Formats: sequence, C-alpha cells, structure tokens
Amino acid sequence: MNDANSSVDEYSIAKKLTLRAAQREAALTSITSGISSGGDEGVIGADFSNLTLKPDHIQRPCWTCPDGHIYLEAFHDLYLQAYDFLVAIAEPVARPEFVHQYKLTPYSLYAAVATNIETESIINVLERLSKNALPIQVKKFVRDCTSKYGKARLVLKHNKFYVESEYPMVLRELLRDPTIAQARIQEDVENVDEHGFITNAKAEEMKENLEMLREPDEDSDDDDDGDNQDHEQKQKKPTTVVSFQVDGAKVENVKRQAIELDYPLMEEYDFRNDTMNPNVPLFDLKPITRIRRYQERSLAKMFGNGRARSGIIVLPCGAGKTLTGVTAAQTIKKSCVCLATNGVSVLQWKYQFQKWTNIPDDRISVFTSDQKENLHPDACVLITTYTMISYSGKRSDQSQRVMDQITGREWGILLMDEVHVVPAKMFRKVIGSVKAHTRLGLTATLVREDDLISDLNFLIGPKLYEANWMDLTAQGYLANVQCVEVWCPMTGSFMKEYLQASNARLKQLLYVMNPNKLRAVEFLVRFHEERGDKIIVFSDLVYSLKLYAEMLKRPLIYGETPERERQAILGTFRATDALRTICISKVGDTSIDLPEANVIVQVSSHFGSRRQEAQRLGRILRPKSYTQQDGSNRSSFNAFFYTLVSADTQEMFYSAKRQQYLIDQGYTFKIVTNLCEKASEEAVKHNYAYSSPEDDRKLLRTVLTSETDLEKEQKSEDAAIRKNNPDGAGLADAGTKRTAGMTMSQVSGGGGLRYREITSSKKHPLFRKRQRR
Amino acid sequence: MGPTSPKRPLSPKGSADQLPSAKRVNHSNSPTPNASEISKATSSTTADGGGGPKKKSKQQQVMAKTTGVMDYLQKSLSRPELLGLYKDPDRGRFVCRSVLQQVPELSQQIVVRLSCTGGVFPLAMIYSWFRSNTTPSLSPTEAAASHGRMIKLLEHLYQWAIIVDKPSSSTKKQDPNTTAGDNTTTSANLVQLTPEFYQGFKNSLHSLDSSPWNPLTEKEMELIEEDAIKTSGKSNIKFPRMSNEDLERYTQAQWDAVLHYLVGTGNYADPHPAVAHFLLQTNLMQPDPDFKGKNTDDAPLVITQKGYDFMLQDNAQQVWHFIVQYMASMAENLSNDPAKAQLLKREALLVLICLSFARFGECYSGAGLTKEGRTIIKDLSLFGLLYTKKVGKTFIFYPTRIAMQLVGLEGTSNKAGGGGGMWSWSSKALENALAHPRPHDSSHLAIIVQTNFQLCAYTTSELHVSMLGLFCDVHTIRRLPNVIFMTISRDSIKGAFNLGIQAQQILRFLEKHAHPKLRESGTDPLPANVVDQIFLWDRERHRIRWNQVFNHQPIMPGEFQAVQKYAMELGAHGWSSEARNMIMIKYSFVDRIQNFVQKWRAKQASG
Repeated sequence: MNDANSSVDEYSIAKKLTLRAAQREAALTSITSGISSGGDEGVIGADFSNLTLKPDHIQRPCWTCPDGHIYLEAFHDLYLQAYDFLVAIAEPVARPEFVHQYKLTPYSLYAAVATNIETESIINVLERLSKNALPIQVKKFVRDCTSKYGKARLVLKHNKFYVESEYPMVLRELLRDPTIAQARIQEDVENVDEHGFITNAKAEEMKENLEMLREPDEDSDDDDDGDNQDHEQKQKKPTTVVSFQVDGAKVENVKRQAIELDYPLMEEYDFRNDTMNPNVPLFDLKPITRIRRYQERSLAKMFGNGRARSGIIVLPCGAGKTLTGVTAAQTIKKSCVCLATNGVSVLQWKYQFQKWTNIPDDRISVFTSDQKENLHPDACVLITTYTMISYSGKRSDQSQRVMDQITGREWGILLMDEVHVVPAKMFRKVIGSVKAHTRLGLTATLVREDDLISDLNFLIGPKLYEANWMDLTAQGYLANVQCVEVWCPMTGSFMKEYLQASNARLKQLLYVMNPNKLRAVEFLVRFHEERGDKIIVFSDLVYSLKLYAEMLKRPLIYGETPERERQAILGTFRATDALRTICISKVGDTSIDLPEANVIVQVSSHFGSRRQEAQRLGRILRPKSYTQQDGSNRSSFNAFFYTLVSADTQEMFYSAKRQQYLIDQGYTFKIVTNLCEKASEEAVKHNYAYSSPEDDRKLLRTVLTSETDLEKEQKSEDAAIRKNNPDGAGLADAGTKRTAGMTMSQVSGGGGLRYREITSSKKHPLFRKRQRR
Repeated sequence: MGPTSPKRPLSPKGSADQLPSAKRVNHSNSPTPNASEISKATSSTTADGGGGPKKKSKQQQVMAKTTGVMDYLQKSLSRPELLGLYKDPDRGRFVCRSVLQQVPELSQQIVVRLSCTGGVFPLAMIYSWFRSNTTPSLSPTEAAASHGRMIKLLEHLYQWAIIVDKPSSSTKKQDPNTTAGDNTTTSANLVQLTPEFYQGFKNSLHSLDSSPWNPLTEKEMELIEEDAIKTSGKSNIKFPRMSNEDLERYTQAQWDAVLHYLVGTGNYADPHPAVAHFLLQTNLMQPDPDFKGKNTDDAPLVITQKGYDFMLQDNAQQVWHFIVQYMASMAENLSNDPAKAQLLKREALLVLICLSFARFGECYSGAGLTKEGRTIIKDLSLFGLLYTKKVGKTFIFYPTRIAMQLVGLEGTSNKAGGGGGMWSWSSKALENALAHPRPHDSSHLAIIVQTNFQLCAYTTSELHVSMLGLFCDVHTIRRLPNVIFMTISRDSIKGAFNLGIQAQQILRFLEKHAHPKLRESGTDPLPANVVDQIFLWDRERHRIRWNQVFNHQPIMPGEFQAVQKYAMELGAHGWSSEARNMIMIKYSFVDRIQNFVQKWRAKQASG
C-alpha cells in the first residue's frame, strides 16, 4: 500500500509546516524585542503602554498585546464567553485565579480554523472582547496563519476522496498545480457548477461550538430575533461547498503538494457514509455509561460537523481520558487501533472498552510482547503499544502475522494514549504502519522533551480541546488537592557530608536520606493512617525506597518486584483497610491505577521534571467518593500531595522547577517549615525508627558506605523496568538522549514550554551497550 | 532544632597577649549552609549598616509616630515649648484656637467656662457640671466612673498645658457626693487655666480676623506688579495669578518629582539639589552600597529602608513625615546653637499652624512673616507645599491644599468626608484607572497578586512602575495602557531586601493597594503561598545570628574548667574549646565573670 518512504516524507513535510509556523511566530515576537532593544544587556520586558484603549474598555474582559499575548480578567462578567473563545483560538499560558494569560500561536489558530472558526470571526470577536484596539500586528498574524489553513479539506466520503472547500477560488488555485490536477477524477454527476466542481450543502458545524462567536446581546431569551439574525448571517456565508474527487492512489501526493502550496488539507472522515469498511457490531455504550460535560465538549469539537476530525484532546490525569477515547471509537464504530505506552495500560484499556461498551469479546484483541492475539477478520478493536508497532527488527512469526494484518487493513480511528511521551521517530513508524482515517491523541500534560509538540499539530492534528484543571476541580470532577512542600532541614552531620561530597549521586543520596526527612515521612504516614487515608510514598531512588519501606514496615513496589507480588500488594491496598500505605518507585508514575489513594508523600523525584510532578499528582486526582459535586469544595481539601525537600540542597532548586506546570494550572504549593520540628518531637515521644542522634549517625555511616550498592541497585532497577516491561523499553531509551552543552535550567526544564529529560547516571562506555540491551 | 555542628567562631585566633581581651566575635548559631550563603549574609548585614545597627534617637522615634502638627504638639513638645507657642504675641491666639479644636467637646466646654470665670474654678464645682448631666442620684460605682472621666479630661487638658496643675487624685478618695458641699478651696482643689493659654484664648475671642495674614486683594496685586515693573525697568513682569487647579497641579508635580527621585525613575528631571541633599541627610536615601567607583561621592543615591517606608505612606502622611524630618534636620544642623534651633522650630510650628488658617487659592504677601518664617516657607516650596515667587521686591506665596491639611489629620478627614480607609481609596483608584485611558490623576493603583507570583497592577503612573520595580523582576515587565504585569522572583525580592526594604513593608504595600475584587471574597487579598514565600525569603537572610561575646582565655591550670562551669551555671556560656583555650562568654555577663575570675585566681594563688 504505502511504503515506509511516504511516511518519512509525511514527517519531513510536516516539519516544513512547523518551520513555517515558527517563522510566523518569530516575526510576531520580534515586535517585543524591537520595541525594547534599548540596551544590549538583557531585554527589559515589553512596553505596550502606547496602545489605544477603547473608551468603554471597562466592559471588555481582555487585553491583546501586539506580540500575541492575551490577558483575560477571570472576574469579568464576560469571562465565560471570552474563556471559551480564547481557549479555542489561543494557547493557555497560565490560568491562576484572577488573570489568565494566553498566547496566539500558529498552532492554536490552526486548531481554531480546523473547528470551523473563520479568520474574520476570530478577528471580530477578539476585537469585541479586547479592551484595547486590536493591534494591526495581531490582525496580520491571524490572517497570515489562517488565510490558507483550513480552507480546503480532504474528505473521505463514500470511500472516495474529495478535496472540498467553501471557496471555488481555493480549489482553482490547487488545481493549477499539475500533480493535483493529474490526480483529479472527473465525475459525471448532476450538481456540478460552472468550473466542474461538485456542489453540496455545507456540513453545518454544531451550534454549540460556535456559540462563543455570537454577539453578547443576542441572548437566547429573544429567540425570534436571534433566529432571524442567524438566518441572515447564514445567507451571507456560503452555505454550499464545492469539491472535486481525487484518485485514492494519489491522495498522498495531493496532500504533499497541498502542503507545498501552504494549503495543508485538513482531513475529515465522513464515517457515517463509509460503506466499504464494516462496522464493529454491538459497539455501543452501555446504558450505565455517563459522559461528563467536558468530555462531551471535547467530543463535540471532534465530531463538530458530523464528520470525524483528527486532533489532540488534553484532559488532566484522572479526568477520564480513557472514557473519552472509548466514546470516540464507538462513535465512529469502525475498526480501531489503540496505542498505549506499556503492557499494563494495554490491559487497562481493554478492561475499559469492555466496561463501557457492549463490544463482543472476540472483536477486541491485544497485541503485546506476551499476548499476540489474531485480529478478527472483520472490523475489530486492537489494543497494542507504540513499541510493538514501531519495532523495526526481526519479529517472531506470530507477531509478524499480526503486524501484516495491521498494515494490510484500513482503520477507522487511531487512538494514541499519552501522546506526549512518544518519540518522534516512533511516530513516523506508527503512522507508516497504521493506515487510519482519523487520529486522536490523548494526553494530560502537553509538555515534552523535544520539539515534537509542534510536530504533533501536523502529524496528528490540532489540539481540539484542553480542560482547565481548576474548573474541573471546582465542579468536583477532580479531587481537590492540597499541595504541600515540606522543608526538612538537613541535620548537621548530613549537611557537612553533603557539602564535602564531590559525587552528585552521593549528594542526592544524602539529601534523600536526611534523617529529618525520614522522621517527617513517618510522622505524615502515621498521621494520615490514623485519619483513614490511603497513602503512596514515592521515591525514585531504590536504595532509599527500600530503607523507607523498612522503616515504615510497609510493602514496596519497584522495578524488580515480581508481577504476582505486585498484583497482590496492589490488590490488598485497593480492597482492604489492612494496608493503608505502599512505597513505590518511579514505576508507579503512570501505569498503576489506584483510585483509592488520596495522599502522596514524595520523597525523591526525577530532578526538575514537570511532567513527573503532574503525573504523580494525577495519581490522587480521581474524585473521591466524598467529593461534593456542587462546586463548593474549593475550600475543603480531600487529597494531599506532600513533597519533602531537604532545605539548602539542590532539591530546593529542582522542586521549584517541577512545580511550574502545576502552578500555571492554578495550583498553589503551601510551604511548611515547622513540620520537621514537630516530627522530631513526636519521634522521641512515640519511639520512631529514627529518633535519636545515635540513629542518625548510624544512618549516616550506612549511607556513606553503601554508595556502590546504591549504584548497582539503581542500575538493576532501570534494567528491571526494561525487562519486565519490554514495551516501555523503547520509550525509556529514547527518553535518555543526552545533549551536550546545555545550561542547568534547560536540563531541569526551566528553559521554557518544553523540557528535555535526561538521566544523570554516568555510564561507563563498556556498559553502555549492555544497558541498551 | 536538631543537633548542630560544633559552633565555630569566625574570629581570628586569640591574640598573643595573655590578658583576657574583649572582642566582638561573630557567632554562628545554625549549621553553616555553604560558603556563598555566608558571604551573602555578611554582605547584606554590612550593606544595611545605615539603618540596622545605628539606633535612632528616642526623639526621632516619637516623631515618626505622629500624624500631624497637632499630634506633634501634644506628643513631642515639652510643656515650656507649648507655653512658648501660646505666648507668641501675634500668633499665639491661633495656636490656642487650633488647640482648642483638638480637645473633646466636653473639655472645650470646661475651657470656655473657665475662661469666663477668670480662669480659676473649684474642682468640686466642675465635677458638679458632670453630675448634672446624669441622673442626680448615683450609685457609688457610677459616681466613681464619672469622676474618673472628669479626671481623665482634666489630665488631657494638663497635657496640652491648658491648665496649671495636674488634677490631684486625692479627691478621688473622698466621697464624691459630699465634696460638693465642702468648701476647702486649697490650690489642689482649684482648676486654673495657664496664664499663657488664657491670654492667648482671650486674644482669640477678642480679635475679629479669621486668618493671621490677610490675602492680597486684586488691587494690591496690581500695585505690586506696577511697582515691580517700575523698579526693575522690565515690562514683562507679571504677577502670577494661580487658580486652584494650577496650584494642585503644581503641588502634584513638585511632590511627584521628589518621589520619583526617591525611587529612581530614570526619565524625570532631578529635583532641586537641596532636596537631594535633604533626602540623603534624613536617611531616606543612601549612596548606592554596590557602587564600585573610587570616589564614593559619585555614587548614585538609592532608596533606603526608611525611604521605602516613606513611599508606602499615603500622600498626606508622606508630607507630614517630611515635615518632621525637616524639623529634625534643622535641629541637627544647629546642634551647636540650641537656642537658635529652638527658635527655628518654634517658628516652623507657628508658620504651619498659621498656614492652616490661610485660605486655599489666595495669595499672601511675605511681608507679614518673620525672617525665619520666610526661610521656612521657601524650604517648603522646594517640595511643592507652597508656591512662592518674588515679584519685584515683594515676596509672595500661595499655600496649597496639602500644606493646609497638615494640622491634625483627624479633623480634616472628618470635614472632607473623604476618609473611609484605604478600601474606598483603592476602589476609587480602580474606577479611575478604568475610566480614563490616561487619567489626569495618576496616583491610583490597584494590584492583583496571583498564586503564580505574577503581579498585575492597574496603574498608569511611572511612579508606581518604579515602586513595583523595587521588588519585582523588571525583566518580566509587560506594560499595557492601564495595567502592568510583573513577576515576583527570589532575586527581585532579595534585591529589595538588600536595599533595606523589609518583607513586611512589601506585603503591607501589596495589601494596601489590593484590587477591590480581591476583597470581595472576604479572605486575605494576597495569596497565602506568596506571602509565605516572601517571609521565607526574608528568613533566609537571618540564618546567621550575631552575638556579642567576650573571649576569655584562661591562664591558670584548672581555670578553664572552673570558668566554664561557672559560666554554664550562670547561663553565660556561649562556646568553649579546651584545646584552643578559649571560652566565649555572653557579653552582658562580662563583669560577673571577670569578678569570678579575679576571686578564683586570688583563691588559687593564696591556696
């Protein structure tokens, strides 16, 4: 069908679009630096004080800066309308309680036009909402970014490909290109206009999606007026679309050529009129399944005009991403490939499919390293991992057979879970192997280590929906988490060793094993167990994890824990009150689903990784049974996220970086400094494991002598993660790309929107190969 | 706190001589974090040398707390000084009049009645005035309460130097019901107005003029103008006729220039050199502690903690604060001539009180002023409190609203009805900021501090931008027509701390100017995490505590143990090391330790 080459091409062409977008963005941001380039030493902010305010600006909720930044007053009367609109056209930068910050980017605008918001209405509505007269640079930027984007679509209808547009001009321009003209198939049908284009009624966008564009005075209470106006407006807009058919075999060429012309074709899949691909029988939601409002909103964006669009949906951890994916798949009802990050989540996806829908068991199959089920010859749902699909080495007979079935079939939808973690090269392979009409990416945190976030926009599609964490919390869909940063002063002897240590790993060990931290953990665990909470203690450092588990006398799960033991521990934790605390290494960051847990104690973490912080928080975000649903639970916290930080060590620096993403989402971290003193008192009173200076000294001695053990254990942990979970191995390796010459802030994620994650373990060249397996 | 590492004194090793020598030793109480922290901490302590160690004189502290001229008269002037003011032949009556306006209504009644009865009256009779107000028969407790009230009022009058003697509390012991008939009129039982006040008050009643100076009439102005043209021979001399609005604008501009200079807004003209000198002299500004150049005289002036405190006050308070500083600096300059200093201070107070009787928008001639008075008026005009001009040979001045309000803030805010606390002020600020794209009155500010440390300030004033720039990261500034965005970072806050600005001041400022929307919820307008963080940053600076200790070096065998033991019993022990033969004694215990050492040595020598 299509060889590997074409997919590589698709990637490089997407790259072209990315570059173009970057240029546009650079042109816009250069405005800022142009204004304030007074001194060479550091650009001092941006001065837009010469913008003209409108006389009635008090009635308008936002400011628009010439460099594309938009500030929105969250306490304004028009906040809700403005919010819906801004989320649709701009990227949220920070959403705290009072003033939100957004940024117009080529991608956000691309997403806007993809959901049928037109260039001029973007400008008009923005002009209406803005306190200041809309800067011409912004108008130009919006027009630049959207004039050609979203104007033409590639629609798969009745199993034929059509290039469709509201503007005959656009089609004529496309047809001027010889490649596209060659691919055109002349049809002999009735509804043909003077240019030979097929005319059809436009697929109307759902009213709900365009509601935010309405004039504010057009209220629903004067229905008659509103209808008339609507009618008039529609008369002005083209209600028909023109299209021409292209040869199915040449579609790839047409797509590529369109990108060259800077008219990227948006792909839509008219799945209702697809008669060639069979439906999956009984693929319906069970009556008990309830879809929440924001899930519905996100799906409304996807199926806005009755066809399926490709794109990305961003929902916080614990907000029901899986259900959203399942609902999307069952709406299309065609064959579906679902990609997860590892074997555990594959099983979870399968479970979820069966839980929410009536899909017959033989129609759902799993393809992992241990389970290679054959596909149903007709339509079916396949759940697998990224690595299984993209594996390029030699496969076993069985898996080769399954793989052939996958590549040889036309898929209705490609669901991609945790889309932000997938390395770029893997993407190319996936896209090359799976021929799907729609691609839907799901993620919680759209931050990642390379520039793939921008690639995603063209490889998968625009970001269709991003939920606001705080709103979901206020509505009771997420647990209301109190984030606490506990400062544990280093004890004198530990500090001394810390300052003298030259080895980064020893330093890390010293601040993780700080006796004050140990006491604080024991104190917190005792306190919350008494309250009846369920607690997860996270530690990245296996050595310390073991020690903590030993101290607390609680079970631990890490890379080397056998699967059976792991299940037993998790089962007990979920089902009974006998076990209220478990200790988990970084294996628990994503794949383990523990809805009961409501307290996290984070002892050590992966340097400045914002993603890890958000993911760990996600472990306790699932709404608790006693969460109030009336939106009044803002003040009452029902989940707690403790990060223990050794004061005056590097940990302080990392911890500040880690929190940035969550702070931008509106979370606040309360800093507690006196908990350790209290813990020390309690330690003496209740005879904790580490309560006397003598214990501390003993601990220090063990720590100093066990450096080599530690190294070994950490390595075996990494190895174990790979061994137990070969599906995740590719991901893990790809994540450890090391780039020289970076600043500390870049390494730790302080550099900007994206961050790069690297491991700090220094590998001896002799062992490097072995580690890579 | 956990066990601490052995405390290491940072001082050089003990000096060669064997005699115990008193030394200041830096003494760390917390485990040393790392070298750079220490150097930072030390540099910061040395940097604020201007404000920290140097103790303010007691008088200055008292003055800083006053709120206006009258408050100042009551709190900081001695009785003879007050009487001196009342006694002034021409202006004493105005002092008396304004003082009388300050006391409670009941006291005013007493004073007026006293003045009608020759200034002397028996205490018992005055008490009967009190009683007639209430029901005739009183229970003993009620009687005692009303008696106590009277004594309090009279004490208050005594403080104002209006009556001669302090009301004796001995009367309290007598049964209040029987004292009425008692006719033992000893001096203790008489209430008498001070002759100075009595005279001044009588003068005030007898005179008709409402103001100490008469405003110039249109005719007089023309005369002055003609005269000036005649004498100078120039035809272009014009008499400045200022409208109320002109005056307001003038004051605002002059005062703003001072404030701008204080916070270091770049693009404003520097005020009069005398102003700069004054700001330096009064410690509102200091030479840049980070200045690297050779000649320290070239160091640019930067704001001090005191100056920052000054900026945080509202305008009226600032002006008053400035006056206090002004008077203090006058006294300091003339410290070798106390009599002259006293005279100037008296003159300044008289001028200020008289100003309060002047009318806003009227022009006055300097002819009615003394020489000192004229100097003072000229000085005040540098700060925009007055508008002065020399037309030909005639010195004229216009008082401004702000100068006239200096007498007693309580009184004026009642009259103007514009008090109402900061809340209404900042909401008005917002309205203004929103109502006018570029408001004429640029002194309004409303701030939203967000949980992500972003600060959003509704303002159009350069001054506010500069002020916020003192503790916000200026590199993050984004300025829009009526709002600015900045972030608070650790470095920016630390920079403010290095200037001597305190965490409390920053928070007070932010809270005072908080956006009214933030107060609607009824909770604290500042996010708790930001407040905590600022305090934590502040605390980072105080990790090293400085204790003054005495380094005792034992010379006799056994002395170390004996002294150490004794010091520990006494609680005077700071740190000791037998190996180094040193005992650090808390400085306040030096005498006792030395005593002990002498005795102990004597005992050892003899025994």
